[in-house]
Amino acid sequence: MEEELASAYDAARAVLPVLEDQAADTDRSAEFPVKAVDALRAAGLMGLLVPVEHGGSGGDLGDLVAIAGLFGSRCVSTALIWAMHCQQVDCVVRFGGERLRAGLLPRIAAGEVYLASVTTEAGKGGHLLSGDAALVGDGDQLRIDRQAPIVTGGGHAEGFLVTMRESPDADDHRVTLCYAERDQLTLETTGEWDPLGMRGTASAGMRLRGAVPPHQVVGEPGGFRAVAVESMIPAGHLGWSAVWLGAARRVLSDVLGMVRARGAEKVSDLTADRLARARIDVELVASYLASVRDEVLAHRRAGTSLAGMPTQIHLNNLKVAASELTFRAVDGLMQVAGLAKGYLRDSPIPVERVFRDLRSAALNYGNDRLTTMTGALALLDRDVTFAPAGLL
Amino acid sequence: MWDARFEEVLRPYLPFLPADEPLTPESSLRDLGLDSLGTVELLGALEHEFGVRFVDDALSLETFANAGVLWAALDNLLKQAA
Repeated sequence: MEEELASAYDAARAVLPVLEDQAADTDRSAEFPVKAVDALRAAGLMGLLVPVEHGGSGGDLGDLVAIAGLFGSRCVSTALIWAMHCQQVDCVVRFGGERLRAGLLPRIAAGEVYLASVTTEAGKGGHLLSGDAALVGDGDQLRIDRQAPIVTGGGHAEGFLVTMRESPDADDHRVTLCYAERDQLTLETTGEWDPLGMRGTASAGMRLRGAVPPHQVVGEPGGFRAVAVESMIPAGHLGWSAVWLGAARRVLSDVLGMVRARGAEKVSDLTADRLARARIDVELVASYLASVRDEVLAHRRAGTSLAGMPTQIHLNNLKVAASELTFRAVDGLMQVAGLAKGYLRDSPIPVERVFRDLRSAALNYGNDRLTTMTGALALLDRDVTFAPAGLL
Repeated sequence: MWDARFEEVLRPYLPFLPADEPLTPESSLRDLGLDSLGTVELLGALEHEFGVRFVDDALSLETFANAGVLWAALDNLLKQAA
């Protein structure tokens, strides 16, 4: 492993107590975890995916998975904020123009820029690949005026990757991704943020108005689809799944510790069965996450596209399976922990908090939208190609 | 350019392409309204019309990027069958 990357892993392990210590307060207050994210900035971890020549750690999506899982075991909100930041960074690294990369990536690596994602839009039903509000050309600037119902950590971001319809007369499938600096925008927070779980992500709605120069377009104008397929979706699904898996594994570990601490008391068959079911669920997610991670990394190393039907299906399936199975595992573990230790907010183990956090997993890009897409894609892969393809 | 039957089969899946507007090889099928379920139906319709079977290994989202790429994939199958 490169020196920069090895020290990123050391730094990630070193910040875990900071994440752990603030997790309960962050959940209670539903405020952005400033202290935890500041620790990630100071440790150089915001630049995990920034290439070494731009001052980053030069990590790949496998490193994102490994570290997102570690963070997910301590504070799911902070882990998701960080994983989604890395997802945006991957888009800039792979699709940003030279000028944007040279100007922005060193600042990301230095911890000066936390990147938030602006892809949601009222009235498009959570469709990632369509847009309503349009970029308007104005001299040598592109004007942005856009509402977004959910912007994770938007109040604390120094930069935003924003999806916009390419132009006022473009079809709503022609979407352009552009980078906007906080000081290029006038920001208004719209609505309150008081959700069931993932409370620290402070994902209140926003209205963004401003203008950016054309070199801040990421990918081709109107060509967000390619950025989404090659970068935003794979980085998102891998990163999210790792966060949820890390969280479920931690709860399983804590509940196992609790059962063990009962000492000589006999473990009932029912408890043993419930522990086994949770173990099966997290193992399935872990193995599938590893398979899909390897498939994506192999394509990237070979320089081939992720647009093939089997890869698309696997990436969707990973997100759906990870969101459902990790939540199911924690739900079952709450039964083992019982009312006193599982259901209470001030329990010494965070079953209740993680339960609420993971309930969002099926909604954070809606599973229903993914399964309807996967069903259609499955019809185009009659061979039923597995990840890994050579298994059978 | 392509077999007239190709365009006849394809056009009904492109709701945003006016009947009096030409379909070009560069025309983006997604921009013209081809969605993912439409893609499945279109493949079935092409296989039925031309008596071929697409090899799924060779399919990718890019196969449906525009009319030219899709025709090239179909034409390739027709040549193999001939």
